[in-house]
Amino acid sequence: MSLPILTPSEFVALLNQTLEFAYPAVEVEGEVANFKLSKGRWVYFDIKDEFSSVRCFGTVYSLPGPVEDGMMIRVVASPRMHPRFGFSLNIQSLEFSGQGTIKKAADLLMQKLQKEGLFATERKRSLPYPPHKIALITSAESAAYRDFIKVLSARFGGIEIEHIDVAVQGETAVSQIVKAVDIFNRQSELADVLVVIRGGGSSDDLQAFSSEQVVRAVAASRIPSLVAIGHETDTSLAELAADLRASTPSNAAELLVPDRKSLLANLSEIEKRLNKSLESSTKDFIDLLNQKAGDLYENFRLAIEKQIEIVTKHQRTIEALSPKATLKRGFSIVRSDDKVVKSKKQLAPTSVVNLEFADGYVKAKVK
Amino acid sequence: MTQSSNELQAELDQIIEWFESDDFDIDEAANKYQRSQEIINELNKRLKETKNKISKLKVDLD
Repeated sequence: MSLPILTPSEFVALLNQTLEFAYPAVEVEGEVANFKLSKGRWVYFDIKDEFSSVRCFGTVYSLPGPVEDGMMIRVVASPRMHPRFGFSLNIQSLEFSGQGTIKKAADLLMQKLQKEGLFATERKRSLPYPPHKIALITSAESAAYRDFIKVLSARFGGIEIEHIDVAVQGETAVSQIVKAVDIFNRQSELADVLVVIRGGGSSDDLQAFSSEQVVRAVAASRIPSLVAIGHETDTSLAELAADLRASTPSNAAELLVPDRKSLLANLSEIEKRLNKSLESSTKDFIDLLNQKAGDLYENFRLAIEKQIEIVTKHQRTIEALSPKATLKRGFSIVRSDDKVVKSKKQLAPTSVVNLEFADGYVKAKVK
Repeated sequence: MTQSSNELQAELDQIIEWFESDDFDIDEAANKYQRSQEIINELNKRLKETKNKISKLKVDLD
C-alpha cells in the first residue's frame, strides 16, 4: 500500500480535521505549569500530571481569574495542531478545581480587583425604590428563583420582571451569565435594577459568581445591580462588585420593594392625618370667621354710637339756637301785622303789637 | 395618562404639606381633600390588587 505524500501543511490540515472529528472538545484536569501571559491578551501554560504535560493556549478572557503555576484546573478545550508551534489544547473554558486552588484563585482575583477599585464603596449606586422594571438573571428551575418571585409578589405589585434563564453552575454558567448581563444592558429601555441570584451550594457550585468575567460584567453594568449568591455566610466576588448585596434571594426581594402591608398601614395613617388636618384647619377658619364677625359687629356698634353722639350734640346746639329756647330764657318776639318787629321805627304810637312768649301770646299797645 | 404609584404618592405628599402649611383656603381645601381621598383609594386598590408581570426573555446564550 502506497501512502499519499503530503506537504506539512496538508498533514497539519488532515490532522486537525481528524482531531476535530474525533475530539471536538476534551475536558482535562491537571496542574498548571509554565504559565505565561503575552501582550496582556494571550495565555500559554502546560497542564500536567506526574507523567505527562500538554501545552495549552487561550485568551485571558477565558480565565475565571488570575492563574498561577501549581494551581489545579479543569479545562474544556479543542485539541489542535498549530502549523508552526505544534500541538496544544485551545481553551474554551477553564475552572479551578480542588478546595485549595479555588480558595487561592479567589484570593488572588479578589486582591487584583480590589486594587482596580471594583469593590470600592464610592462606586456603589443607589437602587430605585421600588423599581418599576427588574432584569432578573438566575436559573428558572432554582429555589432561588421561586423564593425571589414569591417574596417579591407577597410584598409588592405592579413590577415588570424580565427574566433570563441561565445555568448557575457548570462550564456554561460564566458565559451565560455574562451574556445575560450584556443583553439586559443593551436593551433600548433599560431595567431599573439588575438582579443576579443563586441559592446555596458548595464553593465549587458557586464558583461562577466569583469568576473574573462575571465580576467584571456586574461591575460594568449600566443598570444598578443587586446580587445575592448562596446563603448568608457565602460571599461571592460578584456580590462585592454589585451596587447592593443581599444575603439570600429572599432578602434581595425584601431589599428591593417595601412591604405592601406597611404601605397600607401608612396610607391609613395618612388618611387619619389628613382628616385631622382638614378638621383643624376648618375649625381655625370658622374661628377666624367668627372673630371677624365679632370685630365687624363691634366696629359697627362703635360707629353707630359715635354717630348718635354727634347727632345728639348737634341736636343740643340746634335746640340752644332755636327761638323757642330763646323765649324760654325770657326773650319775646314782637310782631306787628304778623311781621317781626326788628326796629322801633317800624312802630307808630298807639299801634297794637303782638308779643310772643314761651308760654303764649299777648297783645300790647305802644305808647 | 395614568399616573404611576410613585407620582401619586408624591402628589399625596404635596397635599399633606399644603394642609400643614399656612396657605389655607377653604375652597381649595375641599378640592384638595377630595383629591387626597381619590389618591388614597387608588393606591389602596393598586397595593391590594396589582400583580407583578413576569416575562422570560427568549435569548440564545450559547
